[in-house]
Amino acid sequence: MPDKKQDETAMSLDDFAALIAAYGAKPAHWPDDKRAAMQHIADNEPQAAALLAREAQLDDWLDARLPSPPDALQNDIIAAMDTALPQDKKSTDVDSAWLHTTRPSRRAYGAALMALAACFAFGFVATPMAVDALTPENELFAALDIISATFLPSEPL
Amino acid sequence: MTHSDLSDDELLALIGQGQQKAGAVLVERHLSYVLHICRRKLGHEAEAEEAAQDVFTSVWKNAVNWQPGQAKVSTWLYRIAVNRCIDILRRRRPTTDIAAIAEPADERADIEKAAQVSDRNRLIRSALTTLTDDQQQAIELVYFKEMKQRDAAELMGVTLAALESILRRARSGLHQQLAAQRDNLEVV
Repeated sequence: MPDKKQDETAMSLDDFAALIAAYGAKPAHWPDDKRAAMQHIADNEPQAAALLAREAQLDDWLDARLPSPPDALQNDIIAAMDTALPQDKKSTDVDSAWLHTTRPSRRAYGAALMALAACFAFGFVATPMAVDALTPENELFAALDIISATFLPSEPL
Repeated sequence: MTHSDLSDDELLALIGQGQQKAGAVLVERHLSYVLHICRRKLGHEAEAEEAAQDVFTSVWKNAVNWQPGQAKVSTWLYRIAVNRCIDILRRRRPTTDIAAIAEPADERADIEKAAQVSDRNRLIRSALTTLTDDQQQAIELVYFKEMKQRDAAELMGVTLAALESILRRARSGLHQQLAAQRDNLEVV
């Protein structure tokens, strides 16, 4: 009759290597029905140490992964972006776009100022010429005499 | 190129312009790290989640002022998270010595370590995403959730032998991905 204890620990190094390549170096992750045999190899086979060390390194890296945050929290944070983020200027900031297209530029202000100055200059030169053309000289002076006699004092103050 | 390929600096520039997709990627990339800091400082799950939410609200509001290259984004997040935790601790226990709780003796070393933890977490998560869907599921169930192999195989609708094969390929892929980043995975 075969020894039951010996059966439980009968495993080749290749089988051991294949199992820890799947489940890693932690005995807690090994299949229940193979754990005793795997542990036997780990304790007794000199080559097992190197195989275990390689898988233990990967286990350590995986253990260093921070736990995933709750989905609900992630969703809440993303939803809160709606109110906190500036509006996307390219797609939604209609008011701002309207301002950019209708607000006069500095160049436009300059042109308006130049036009106003030109109007003043034209008026300064053209008005006396027009008065001369429309009103004979004697009538103009007569009109000025009447105005001065009516509104100005006749004697020095 | 997708948003996931962009650097943190590039994402913040887009967030400053109001791009929500960039914000979602930043959350996906850094929330576990921010939550880790808040849990460690506060030791209370609900408050840690509240703090983490506030951290990202602050990021949305201040992203427009972010200057690329002035600091690591993870360092900035760490600073915001610690400040928010201090506020919560003050609210919770007004008589407690906040400095003793929240400020370590050598804060620079703590920030540096937190940045390393963040980078390592990112590398590991990135390596996991290179696996196929069934490989990711197998690792999640058997390794992280410590489910019995037979139960995991049944859940995935495969035989036990197939599950072992999937796990073996998954771990082999992770070895390749992570061994190349060995130096960046060490936290000093």
